[in-house]
Amino acid sequence: MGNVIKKVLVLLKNLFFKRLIFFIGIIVVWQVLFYTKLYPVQMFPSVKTIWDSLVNNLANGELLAKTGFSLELIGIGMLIGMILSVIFTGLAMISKVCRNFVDSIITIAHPLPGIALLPIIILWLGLGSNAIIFVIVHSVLWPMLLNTMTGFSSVPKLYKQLGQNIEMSKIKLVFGIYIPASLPNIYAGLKISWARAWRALISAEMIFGASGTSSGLGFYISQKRYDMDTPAVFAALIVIMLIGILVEDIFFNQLEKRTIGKWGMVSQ
Amino acid sequence: MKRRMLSLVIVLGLVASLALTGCNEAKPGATNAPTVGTIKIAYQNGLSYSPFYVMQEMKIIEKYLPNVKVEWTVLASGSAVSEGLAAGSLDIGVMGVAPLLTAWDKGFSMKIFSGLVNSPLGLVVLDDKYMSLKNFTEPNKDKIAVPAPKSIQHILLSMAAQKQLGKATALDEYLKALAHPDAQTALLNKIDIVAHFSSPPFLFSEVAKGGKVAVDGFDAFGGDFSFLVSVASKKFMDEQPAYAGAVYMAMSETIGLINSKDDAAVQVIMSKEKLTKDTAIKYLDWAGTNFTTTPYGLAGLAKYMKDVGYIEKLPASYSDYCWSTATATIGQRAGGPSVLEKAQNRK
Amino acid sequence: MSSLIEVKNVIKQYSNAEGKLLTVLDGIDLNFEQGSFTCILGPSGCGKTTLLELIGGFQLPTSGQILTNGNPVKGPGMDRSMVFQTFDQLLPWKTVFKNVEYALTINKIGADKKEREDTVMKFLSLVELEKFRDYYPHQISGGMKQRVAIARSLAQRPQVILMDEPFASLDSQTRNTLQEQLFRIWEKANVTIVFITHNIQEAIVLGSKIVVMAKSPSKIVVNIDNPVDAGGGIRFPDAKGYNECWKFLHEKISAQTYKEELIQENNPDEIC
Repeated sequence: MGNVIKKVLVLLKNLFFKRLIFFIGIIVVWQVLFYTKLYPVQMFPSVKTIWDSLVNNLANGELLAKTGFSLELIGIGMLIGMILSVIFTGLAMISKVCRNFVDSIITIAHPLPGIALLPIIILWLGLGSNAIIFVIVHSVLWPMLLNTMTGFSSVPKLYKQLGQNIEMSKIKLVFGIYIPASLPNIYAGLKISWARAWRALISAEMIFGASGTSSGLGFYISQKRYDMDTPAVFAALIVIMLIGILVEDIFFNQLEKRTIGKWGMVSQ
Repeated sequence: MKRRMLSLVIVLGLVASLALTGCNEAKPGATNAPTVGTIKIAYQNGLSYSPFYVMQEMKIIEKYLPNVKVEWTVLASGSAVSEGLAAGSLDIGVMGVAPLLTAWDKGFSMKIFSGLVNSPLGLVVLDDKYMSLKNFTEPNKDKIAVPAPKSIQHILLSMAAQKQLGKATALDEYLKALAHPDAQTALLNKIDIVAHFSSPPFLFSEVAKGGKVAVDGFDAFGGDFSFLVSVASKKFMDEQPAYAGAVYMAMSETIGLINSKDDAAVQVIMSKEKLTKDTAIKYLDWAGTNFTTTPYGLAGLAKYMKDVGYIEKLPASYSDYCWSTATATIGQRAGGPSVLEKAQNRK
Repeated sequence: MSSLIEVKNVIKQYSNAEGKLLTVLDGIDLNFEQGSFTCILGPSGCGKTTLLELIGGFQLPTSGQILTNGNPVKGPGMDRSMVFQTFDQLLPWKTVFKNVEYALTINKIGADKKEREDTVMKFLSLVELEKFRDYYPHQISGGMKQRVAIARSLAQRPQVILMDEPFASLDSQTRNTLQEQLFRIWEKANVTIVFITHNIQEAIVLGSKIVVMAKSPSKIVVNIDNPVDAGGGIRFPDAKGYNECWKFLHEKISAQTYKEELIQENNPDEIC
């Protein structure tokens, strides 16, 4: 147990120092800009005001609740997107006809910005969380699918032969050989999907996110903007950045380190 | 006709001189000589903003200031207007009184330059059941669309809730923040919402398509109020008082043209709003629609916003959040339209 | 000795991109006896690997038959395990131990975890890698990877191990060591091996039988019992008859190589 804590501390320390310099730099530049009064204080608040707003909004639970709401939506959306991409990849592997079909869908759907679909999504799915989840699934599915399919099709022939040699069933072949062998691609897909989903979520919420009391970070930002509470807008942006860093540095980094890194499947 | 023109000139001259003296007081020693050759003005899309685009298309400001370049921007949201004014990238913009009071409360350096329009706002429902606010019983099903929490639509709904249900926040759980076009689509297609606190032209088209007004904005407010006002930055008022006076005169003239259904002005509105002449006239004549440079209902709204906590302090006087161009017109209308409003052909 | 695998008049043809029919194997007849160690020599492109894949069941012959224990081969199976040339034949996400164990887990061989572990460790110790059981493939050398692959094959308890030039990518020092090790394993485990190589020395050292394949048409030109006698032990170059055998095989292969050049000059398309 102590060992684990130690490891976590070392990890945090490395990341911490890497980022710390960067953050201190930004804070200093920010504060200097603030003192020049080039911009009105209402639009360009001091570091302290932003910090106070962040602390207050975290302490009163509002920001945490909104963040939780957004993360829940993104979790559901990503899960659905991943399941769908596995199903589609499976279909594409079964036959050439399906493969052509999946290729066509990707070609058509991938470049469509989810936000552009909103008016139609409203008509189909209404105004609730479902519509936002749809936008997230849309932004997750295609990059995920593209990468999974690339991964699957670049699995060495040898691995397939090995699997056949030891008489693995199709399902076991997918889960025992194809998925682990495609992990570098799947992770790449996950990272792109995460970034897109996060952006899609915030923008979709800024357009229509609130329903009674339940709403997410995107809506929080647009509401604070409406209220002209600029420090709170920055506080929410900080939360968004922190989550980005946490997911990128802690989650994906660790995931890769503990899997494909450990297995020598990353070319470094 | 001649008499009308004469009174217009007199009033405009009066207002312009008021503007000038007001600004000189604010910044002693400032010269009246222009230091910039441009005026940056922003408005948003919609019939309510018509005095601005008519003024732009008919080059009415240029009539008063032939050597000045006017830069027009069409923005997508009121937030962008206040940000532009605060950042100095705009001189004059259009916004609601509620956001302006919020801006004043937060210390933004901008004030009301003039009134723009009083509009009939209303809670539109399709189902007769919802004609009474008492029948909104399921927060997850009986959703009410408003453009944003704390918007004038939300405030009017709260005022109506206070009157009908005894509690201003009674319907807050039922709110769904939605832009007007989306809300209109959702209401008419019966998707997720049952009511929309609407404003023109959405109010007009929703009513035309079978919507009924369950709550009238003026009833809820208890009188006339400005739906939109024009707002000018402190920098502009300090540095360009002469321009400010000219813009005020141009705006006054434009509003006069619109109110008298001047052919050229109506043509501009028709092409911008993609309306037939009949519909355009019908919309302009809609009961409650009044274009006027006089702001209405300011103190009442400020008091309400303070009461419900949307703003932290109560303005001590109009001049806290109004430039002299606006304060000059407020006191003049007791008992009926003022000289200025009559000059602008107010109904 | 009984024939474990019979290759009967096997013809394999592909059509290339232009739709032209290429004959890769042109009537191959071969028998592999139980417990034999057959080395197949031949110039590149003669269809050695195709033959191995046909026996492995990864491809089916265009005509002719391949029988194991008298039954036609219909696809890949546990009774015929493969060892490849490339070092990347281990699954990188599994440890050495897990790589060897995988076939057993998939096919539920062994009564319990303990029994499987014993089997795996037995074969890992046969290739002297029991200390590396928890290493991942990328942490061990190429030679070690090939030994793991051999252990994995053995653990599968196949009737025949099909080896496709498994030592071709190794340096000569390691190669010699692994040849010796494989020979001793074959002796001890009494397993049947089909071993493809283009190295004459390797064929003499390892094979109880030596087959030479020709190219265009792909046929068997030599099919002999290894004449070199080292008293049952590994045939080092100083063994009796080694040089003669080497010269004989070299001649046969050179003739092939020479012919190949001739053919390529005359008919540059004829590459399989």
